[in-house]
Amino acid sequence: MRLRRVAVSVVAALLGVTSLATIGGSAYGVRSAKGGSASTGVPRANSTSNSACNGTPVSGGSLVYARGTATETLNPWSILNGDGDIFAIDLIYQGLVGFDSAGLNKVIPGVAKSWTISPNGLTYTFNLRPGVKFSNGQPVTAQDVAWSLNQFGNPKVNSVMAVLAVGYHHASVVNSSTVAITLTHPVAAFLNNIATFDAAVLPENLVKKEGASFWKHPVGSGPFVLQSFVSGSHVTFVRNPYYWDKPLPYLNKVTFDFALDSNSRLLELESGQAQIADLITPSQIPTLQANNKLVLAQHNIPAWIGLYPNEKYKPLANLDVRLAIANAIDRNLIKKEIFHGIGTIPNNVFGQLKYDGSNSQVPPYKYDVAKAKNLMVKAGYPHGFNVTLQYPTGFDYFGQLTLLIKQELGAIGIKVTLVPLATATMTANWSLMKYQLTFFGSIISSDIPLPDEYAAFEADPTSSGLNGFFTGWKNLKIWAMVQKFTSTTSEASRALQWPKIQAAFMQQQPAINVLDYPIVTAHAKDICGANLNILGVDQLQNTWIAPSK
Amino acid sequence: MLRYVSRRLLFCVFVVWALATVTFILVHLIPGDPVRLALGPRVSQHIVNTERGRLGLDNPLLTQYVSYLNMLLHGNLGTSLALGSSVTYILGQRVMPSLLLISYGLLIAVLIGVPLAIVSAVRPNGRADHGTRLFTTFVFGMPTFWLGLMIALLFGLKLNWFPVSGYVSGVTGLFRTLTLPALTLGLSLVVLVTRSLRFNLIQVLNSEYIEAARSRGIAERRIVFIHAMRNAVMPTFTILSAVIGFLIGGTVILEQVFQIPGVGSLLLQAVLNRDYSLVEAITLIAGTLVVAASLLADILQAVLDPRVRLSR
Repeated sequence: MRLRRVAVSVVAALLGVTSLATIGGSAYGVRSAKGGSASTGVPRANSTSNSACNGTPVSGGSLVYARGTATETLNPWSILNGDGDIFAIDLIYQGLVGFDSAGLNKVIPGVAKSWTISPNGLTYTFNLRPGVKFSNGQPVTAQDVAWSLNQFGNPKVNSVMAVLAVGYHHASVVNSSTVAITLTHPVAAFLNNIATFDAAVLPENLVKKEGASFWKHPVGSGPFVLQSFVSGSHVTFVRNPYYWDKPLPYLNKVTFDFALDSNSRLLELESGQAQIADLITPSQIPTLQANNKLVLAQHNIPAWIGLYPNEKYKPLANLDVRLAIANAIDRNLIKKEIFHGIGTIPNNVFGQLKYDGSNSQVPPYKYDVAKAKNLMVKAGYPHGFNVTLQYPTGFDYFGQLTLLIKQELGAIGIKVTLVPLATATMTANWSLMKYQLTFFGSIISSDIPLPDEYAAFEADPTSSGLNGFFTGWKNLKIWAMVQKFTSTTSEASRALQWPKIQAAFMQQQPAINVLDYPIVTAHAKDICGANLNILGVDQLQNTWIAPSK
Repeated sequence: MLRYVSRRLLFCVFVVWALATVTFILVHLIPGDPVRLALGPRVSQHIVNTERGRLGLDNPLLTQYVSYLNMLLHGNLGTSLALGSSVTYILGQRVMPSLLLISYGLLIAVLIGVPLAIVSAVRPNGRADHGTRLFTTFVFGMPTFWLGLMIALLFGLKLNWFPVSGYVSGVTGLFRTLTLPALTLGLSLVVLVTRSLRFNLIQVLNSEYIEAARSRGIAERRIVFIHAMRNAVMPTFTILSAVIGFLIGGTVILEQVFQIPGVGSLLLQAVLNRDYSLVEAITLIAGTLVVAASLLADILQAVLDPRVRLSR
């Protein structure tokens, strides 16, 4: 064990330099490097690590946020660059409901102040908050809400995130302060689905009148208004004077600097040019920890590092082989040596999601080489087999991670050939199932904090599904359980159902979760309330700058 | 002269066509699907295939190539798959920062390189010459992104003279935000300016007409700056025109490190996104610029030196 740790440390040191070339970027649901753990001294986001933030929030000031992904569009129905667009969109617009800004896994009122759900789960009636205005002073009407939601529900308009409009039928105006949305079938995750950025409420008249030019100077009811947007450089927002939730937002001005290079983000933060930076890479954590002017914060969101086995490759179609691989990976070593103690040993093939059973209900992954070897014998592969492992280039930690996994799988006879590929090639290979084992994206994250989305991705065997999330895995029994779960509207019943499904997935290992991985951001000490919501998005309305003493 | 220029022009057209063709083939040969990247991992392959069909990406490569050439001949650079806007519009937004960066970088290279070359050439193998060669080799040996980071670390973080990254318009803003990336670009070019000019100056300074000037008692300073420089600088100019490609290539990484919203960083993102139209357009424009600069240098040389046009 000691030798292995030394080897890992040497490899980590040698490969650490590659972080200089790391290029940020994310596809939808696939994020770049993040990190954080209380055990490493990286505090949870809600812990108060700065006494300056113990006082009463004060209004005013400007903030520069060094972002690892650039904004390309402000059109919520046609995002072009994943998080880069979503983060900006969430400052400008607001939906009927949203996610708790402090990071709790709950849906909170937005443009709607309350809602009721019909007993059959097919009709949601929203009571609109009185006096809500768009940033141009125009009132938000029930017609604006119904029209916007119908755009969200139209897959021809909301093409990229159409998956979140599952079961959506129609929104209609009941009266000037009430909107009703009907569904084709009960969708338990519906409120979470419309709490996302693409269910934003927009002014119908302006969008229709201005067409594509509307997105150059958009109008929404979110806490901030667009001031300027320089493609490839930065986007600046100022406080929305009509924002309904007074005295929020506290900040007068926010600028997202597109610092795609991880070292540029670090330099911006250390020089004081930026006050917050996202996508802190694992290799940057020691440097930032040593800087007493900065605070590192961990934000737990449903994100994980997933290893995907292609069942078209015969050995990987064998359940015992997949279980052997899952048992052969030493997650504690990976967490300690590669991710600087960040992350959580998972008990779910997906990330940490609502309704997850505890570790006593669903045991987490264990490192057990003897068991893994026995499983290989049981599977009929006592001498192992050859397999290729594709992984994305441009992320320092993947070089180290795959080397370690190669070594660990080698111990049970699986001879791994590592295939580093550009992310674009990885994604194409994965969706065309041209791989054997793959880390198809750097870090995978769910669009909603509920299991419904990824459980369906993985289990849906129908033509509208994703073929076991492009692994070829199929299990009709689990699919029936998932279908029942996703259409059950009773919270209590769902809380009982999910741990059983979670355990069933763990027994099948259609995807092998290597580590649950949070977001790590860093900010200046005088920046307070820099929390992210459960999806890793920050509307910055609660962020304020502590006055210097 | 006219015949010489016509021949050069015809050759340039051929080079640009070859460049467009090779770029088209290479871009389409790189593995990766721009449509899958644009739509994200959550949609089925069926939807991806439908979109590929709509965009004509499922046509045979030859059909796509003919369509591409046809568009080019009509001055249409196409639409960006990843950004959803016309390539001409996108480039229009991004071209100025790159032009400014390259010009500023070139100026810095000349401002540093020319004095160093003169100091070296006046006393070859002297201390100054050794020092200059050591300095230029050291700088040339450093990867551009590393040199950029070190410069940002020193002048941005430690000395706090300039912002570590970013881009601000206006004369003051441009001076503040472009100086560090331009210095990086300029330093990586200094070796070419210095070594080329040094070599030519040494040759010229040892020529008979310089000896004759010395024997007539003309001051050494006048000999170097007036008589020798005039003849030594021309080959350096030719080399500089040929390194426009190098300069454009340098901006790809530098613009990423220093967050300059130029064509270089756009090209990098376009390659990562497999944005065919954008990659093809940027490569074609950059290539055309290199060809045009080379043509201009050839013509200038032919104008100044009749032996050139007569020998060809």
